[in-house]
Amino acid sequence: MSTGLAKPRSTQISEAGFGFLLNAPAVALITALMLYPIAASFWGSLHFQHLRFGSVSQFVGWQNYLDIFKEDDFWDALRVSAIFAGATLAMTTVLGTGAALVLNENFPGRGFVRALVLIPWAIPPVVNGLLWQWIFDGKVGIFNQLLVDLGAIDTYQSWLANTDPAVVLAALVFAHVWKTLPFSIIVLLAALQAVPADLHDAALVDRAGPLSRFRHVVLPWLMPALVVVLIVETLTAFQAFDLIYVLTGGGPGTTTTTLAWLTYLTAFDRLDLGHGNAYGYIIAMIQFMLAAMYIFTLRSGKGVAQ
Amino acid sequence: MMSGRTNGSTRRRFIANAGLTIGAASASLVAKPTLAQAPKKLVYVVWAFEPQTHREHADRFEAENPGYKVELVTINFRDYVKKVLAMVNAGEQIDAMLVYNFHVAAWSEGGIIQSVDGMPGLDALNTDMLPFVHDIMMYKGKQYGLPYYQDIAGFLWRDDIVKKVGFSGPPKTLDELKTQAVEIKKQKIMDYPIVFEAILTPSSMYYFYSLVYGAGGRFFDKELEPTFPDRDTMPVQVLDWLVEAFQNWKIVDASSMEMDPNKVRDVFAAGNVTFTVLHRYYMRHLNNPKVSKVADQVKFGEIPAAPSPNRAAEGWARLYGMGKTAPNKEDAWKLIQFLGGKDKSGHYYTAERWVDLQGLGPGYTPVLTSPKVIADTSKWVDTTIAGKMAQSAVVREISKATWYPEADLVLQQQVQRALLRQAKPREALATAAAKIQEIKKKA
Repeated sequence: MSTGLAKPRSTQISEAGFGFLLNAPAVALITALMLYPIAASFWGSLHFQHLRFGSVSQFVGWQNYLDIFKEDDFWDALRVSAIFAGATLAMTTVLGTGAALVLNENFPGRGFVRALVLIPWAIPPVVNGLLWQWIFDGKVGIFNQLLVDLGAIDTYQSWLANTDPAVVLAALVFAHVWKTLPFSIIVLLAALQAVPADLHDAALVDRAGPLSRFRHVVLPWLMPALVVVLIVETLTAFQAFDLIYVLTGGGPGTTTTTLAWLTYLTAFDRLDLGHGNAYGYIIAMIQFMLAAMYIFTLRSGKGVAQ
Repeated sequence: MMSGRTNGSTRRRFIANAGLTIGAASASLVAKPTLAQAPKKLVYVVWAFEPQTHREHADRFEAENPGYKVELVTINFRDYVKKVLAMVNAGEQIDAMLVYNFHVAAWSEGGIIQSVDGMPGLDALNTDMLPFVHDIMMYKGKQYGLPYYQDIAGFLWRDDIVKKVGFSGPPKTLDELKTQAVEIKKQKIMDYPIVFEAILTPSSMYYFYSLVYGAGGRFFDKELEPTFPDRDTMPVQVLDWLVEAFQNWKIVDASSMEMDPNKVRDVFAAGNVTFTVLHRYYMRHLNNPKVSKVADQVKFGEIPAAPSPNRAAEGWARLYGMGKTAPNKEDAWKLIQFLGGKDKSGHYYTAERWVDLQGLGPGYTPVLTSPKVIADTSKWVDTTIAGKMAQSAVVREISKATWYPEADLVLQQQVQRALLRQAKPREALATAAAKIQEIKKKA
């Protein structure tokens, strides 16, 4: 039974059409700037395309991917990327949570400190690289001076070309964390501020200690924010390029050759665009799988605030 | 009627006259450009070394050839190769460009540069060209440019320090180099008397190639198969010595692996180093009291090594190449001929200026042996020794392979692994050889 409120069918279509029209510029822009390059690079990953051989483009199917999986360089770079991402994730999560807890407390100058924390995040990545290049310089670096003054070392060391690969990677991780930590702090701080005061009060009434309150009250509320932090920091760690470009160039040897750096070398140094595109998609797939794993593991865990 | 005819005639005459006037005006407008044609645009692409000098040369060319306007495109070193390839692949006009000698093969095969064979005046220029420089310009029997400059790497030492610690002259072998460096360290003059440009960066590692060539070793045979680690053991021997020098004797600064040639030059000029291996043309800077604390104390000579019939210095050249996207080969050649050859007065104008301003080695014998150039160059380097070394210079064997950049990177990575003791020298070089064979097979 029809009512007087029902709109004619033609009006509904025109509304939908109107809605589509309103969105059309954005859709066109997204298609042109994102979907097309994504599709074109995937198509490129299925081709032999090597700038050194001119504009030749030959369809090779999945061969580029198979070539990559057969290369030792890929597995070495994957190992370096995993170590780099693992170390940066551990540091940003632990330090980010700690700093967010501190900044959530009331103390004089809290606003100023919160603003100060954001500064590294606002620094352009290449500038960050140059900054750390000077700090770690084996001849005139301030890090060397600091350690000499503290009596930790006798003579200046080369941190970015150290004999111990772990030292070089640690220097890279430190520089990377310095840049990305503010993001984690801000996200976690926002989550902390959303924890209801009632829950804290109830826990205090139940005579829960600080650790117990953190574990049973704060942590469950932090979980969604932690998922965001873990996903974003994983993406950032796997994409880390600027620092490596400026600080180590993937060396010494292949110590800091991550997947992102190997992708750059393949596409822009060897000019092998086919394999370079394939590397890009492999990194994207790894990131996608890790993100899915975080969401599945952390969101399905007990006591996680949904 | 009459008046009507008159009127009609006047009107027709007016229209006819107006037509003539418009026609004449149009004709004059059309004719104008043919009388004073707009200059033809030539695009000249360079890496960012002294771009103002390149501009001055372009200006001089324009003054000598009023029909041309040169657009200078300067690209930073790091992006040079990528940007040039991207420009050519996108069809952008490049008439003349700087080319590294180790890209001649790949760029000719890839359609980035084109041969200059058959261009007027080429044969006359070739007769003046240094033989090894001419050889560098050639690929598969065709010539791909004219010389920008040539140079060699050699051994640099601080004469004052060597004498101060009690030695009469520079080391003649690697053992002597160790002895002198240890003594300098012992007398607490320097913590690390030696630095090398050991940074991981494309087509670097001159020190390693030079130490091997200087000792008579080679890396590849005529089929471009690696002769290291076992057929020619010199690369392994040199790497063994380097590892000990870096790790055990501590006479080489570990920061070397952060240093490119310019940084080594600056550290040397600051007085913090006694020995290194570096390009000849850096001597001009190091012996210039305005920019160097060690001016007049820096000497240049052969690599310390036991005598060998194969002893050689590493040599190279950079060239002015012709872009495949040059719209008119004859026009592009005019610019290249000026930049890499003679000006209208018959002088090697740019080559002489590069020697004068930057100490870059000329690719032509008449310039190299001219009294003025010898007199100028003698102020900062021993021209007799440098000249002798240039005569026997060898170019990296695989620099004419299309797969050179990949192979070069692999070799650098493995040498660094050995220096950091991540692999033993022989093992690292065996890995490099295997990887290079794989690269060659795929190419």
